[in-house]
Amino acid sequence: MVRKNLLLAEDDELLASLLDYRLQKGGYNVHVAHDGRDVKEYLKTATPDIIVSDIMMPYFSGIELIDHVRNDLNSKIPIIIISSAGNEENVLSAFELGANDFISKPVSPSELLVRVGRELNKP
Amino acid sequence: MLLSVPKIHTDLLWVLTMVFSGLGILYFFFVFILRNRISAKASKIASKKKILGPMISNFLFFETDSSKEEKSEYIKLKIEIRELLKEPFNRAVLAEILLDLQKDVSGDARKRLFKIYQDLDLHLDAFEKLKSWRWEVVSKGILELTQMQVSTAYGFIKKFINHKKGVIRKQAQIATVSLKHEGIGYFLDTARFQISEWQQLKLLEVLRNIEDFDPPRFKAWLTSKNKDVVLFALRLIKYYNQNDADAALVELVKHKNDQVRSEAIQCVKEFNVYEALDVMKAVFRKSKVETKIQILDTMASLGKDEDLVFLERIARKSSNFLVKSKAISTINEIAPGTFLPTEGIDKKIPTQNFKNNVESSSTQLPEVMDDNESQQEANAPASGKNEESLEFEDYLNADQENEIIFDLCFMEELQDILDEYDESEEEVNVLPLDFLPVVSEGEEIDPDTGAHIENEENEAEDEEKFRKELETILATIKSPEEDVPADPVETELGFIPIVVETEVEEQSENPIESSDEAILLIEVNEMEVVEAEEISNLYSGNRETLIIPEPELEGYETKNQNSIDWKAFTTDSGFAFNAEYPTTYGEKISNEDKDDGINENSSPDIEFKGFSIFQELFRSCDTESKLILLDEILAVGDEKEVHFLKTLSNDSNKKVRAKAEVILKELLEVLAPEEEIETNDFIKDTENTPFIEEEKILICPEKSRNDSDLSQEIDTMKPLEHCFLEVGDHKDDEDLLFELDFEPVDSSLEELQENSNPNEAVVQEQVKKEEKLFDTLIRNIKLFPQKLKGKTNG
Repeated sequence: MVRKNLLLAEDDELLASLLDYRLQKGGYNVHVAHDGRDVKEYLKTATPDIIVSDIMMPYFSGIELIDHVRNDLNSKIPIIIISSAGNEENVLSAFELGANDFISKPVSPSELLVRVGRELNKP
Repeated sequence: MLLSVPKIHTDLLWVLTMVFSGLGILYFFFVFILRNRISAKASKIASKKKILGPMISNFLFFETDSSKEEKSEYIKLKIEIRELLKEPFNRAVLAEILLDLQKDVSGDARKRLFKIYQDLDLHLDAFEKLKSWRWEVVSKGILELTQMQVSTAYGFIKKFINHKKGVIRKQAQIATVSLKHEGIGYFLDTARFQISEWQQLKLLEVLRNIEDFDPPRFKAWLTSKNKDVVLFALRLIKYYNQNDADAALVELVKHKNDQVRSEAIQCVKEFNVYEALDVMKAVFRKSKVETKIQILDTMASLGKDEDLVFLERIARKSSNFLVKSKAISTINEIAPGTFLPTEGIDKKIPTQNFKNNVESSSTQLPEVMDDNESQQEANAPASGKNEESLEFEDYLNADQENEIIFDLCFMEELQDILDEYDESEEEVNVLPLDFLPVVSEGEEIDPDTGAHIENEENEAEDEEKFRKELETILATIKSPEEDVPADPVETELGFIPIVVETEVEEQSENPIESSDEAILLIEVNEMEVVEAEEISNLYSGNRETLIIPEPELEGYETKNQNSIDWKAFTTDSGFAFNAEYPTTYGEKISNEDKDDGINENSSPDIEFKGFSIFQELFRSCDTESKLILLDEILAVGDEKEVHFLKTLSNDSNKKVRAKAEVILKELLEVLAPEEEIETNDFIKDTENTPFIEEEKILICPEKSRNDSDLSQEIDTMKPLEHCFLEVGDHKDDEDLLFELDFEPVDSSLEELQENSNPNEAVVQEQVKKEEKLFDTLIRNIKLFPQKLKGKTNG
């Protein structure tokens, strides 16, 4: 079975490593990017099957990432947004720009795994 | 005297420069060293975190049903981490990692984190911190134990609840409350220091987030000697809706502390503690303004009539505006309408409904004045001001004066009409004004400026008044031959050549409303008569500008150009009559003759055929929409739509006409079980019965016809709407007055009647008399506005 590529954009290294471990254990090839520049660089060279991104990131926020993917790259890659609680405005903006799903911090790694799977299995 | 500069030794200056430069260099050196040390430590921690992070992840997501390889890897990691944890630095880093992660993860992963923390004995380090002499270390230790949910630390931490250091105390209070369910009780029992508002909020937040928390009965702490504990207990009582502390709440209303009292009053309001009302009244005087307003607010929801005296006294005597206005609003809450607005109110305008005044103004002007004065006087004490009685001239402004004069003139003029009517010694059963499409302007005209004045307020009153006046006239006009009072509907419309409709719906009791609806239906049939609003304004608008326009009745005109076929008119206006009711008045009389004066059907039910909602929709839509609506009629329509569809069968649009016919057929089939009678009657009405033939003849009277080819003429007859379209000229507004002619409209009809009725000559004579009489009446009415204008203009 081919493992799907997942781009995880999260500036918190601890959380990123935790989610990375969980997602890899869940059957995905995970590429972790710790800021927006990493994300852009990665997207120039590869096309992930799904992107999981924190909204608040240095250099390049999750909102800008969605805009970049949807408008500059014209890609329909599923994007799941991770946002801290009480950040509803950003979440709404993300959805307006084309985010597919949203999960709030504190994140349940198991829940994230389920959401990723659901997005990838959507027709 | 000149000032001399003190002499400073140059060597000393050099020495000082060197010293300060050395100190500066030393300072920057220490800063540099310190910074490097911190950054080195940070990088060391970061690198350690990079090592320990995945290890923690491995620990977190290890599953017992994993493969052997994973299990062996897990055991290796465990050994490795045990080795690492021998170093305090690594332990500190690992504890930090776990503390960070517990903020970012939830669910099962978080629980595992707590377990790992204790499994690795990291909580022991936190316990050690509690023994530190440095308050920040102790506080950090308490925080760590609290965040990692080390419940065994409860016993150690609760000792710090009354710590002299505020930071430790507050941290310990939160820890105590969060670590165990009974912590809140212990805290409230033992707290001796002040509990800040912020701390209370944080504690409440902690309580809210405790799973399966069963709150104790907080009324137990209302007796605490610590007022902050009492305050917090009151807030918790309110938050958890513990309404079993009424007696304590009543006592706490008497608390010397305003904050406690205020909170207690809030609880009193929340839990409707009526027993506290008297206490609240007692403490009112000594309370602060905020508490007073709170008491008044509570009384607004709990207060009764007996509290009004107290409240009125406050409203009267209180010097504080806020308290006073709150007292007034409280009174109005308990007894609505006690206090009315007084500021900026034009007191010249009487408060009482002017309608009643106007009705009685023609004969009882002084009473009007008295009523208004009494109303003003009644309001005066409520407003708390002694206002002088107003003179009649003060408040009777020009508009009202005009209105009263108008009413006087109107009544006088109507009386004249009635007198003339009596003198003529004619018999007329009705004054059938209801069906007249009469229009008056909906605005008053200012006699001075000529500007239009909105008079919406009086519309309803005027309508009622006008109706009453008409009823008075109708009551005055009585037929001597009528021993038994006729049915009101018959009385009103008996003179009209009547079209029979089998289906009888509810009888409209209000003739004016019937008239309105009839005219509305005329509108639906695209007769440009008048807007419904204008019709209503007839009864409500300015009598000075009362216009009785002649409706555009082209197509209803008979061979006499000035006569109108009212039967056709009323038929198309939506009136429907009992099928067994005679077609014309003459026919009716003949029937009565046949029945020896007793006619069972002498009280016909005049009805509308039901107003289809689709009529309104059809008015403003294009052909496609109409076709869609026709489909919808079939889906949702009922008998109301049958008549409407019948009218559509004469529609100018071929598509609509064709579809309407199809839909009508289908609808009749659908409604067949319920509408069998109606359908049969409809067929009878449209095909067989002679009066329908008469109706069709009347619609297109220019055609010559005889009895033999009546059916042929019906076929060739134009649709009603076509009749309207063909007639082009509209009379000027000045000529928009009725000219009615009720002469027999067709010779063939007369012949028919002659054949069928041996008393035809007598009947015809009676009919003519009545029609002439009605003409006279209408002429008088049409001249009335002109006379009225003359009178009102002096």
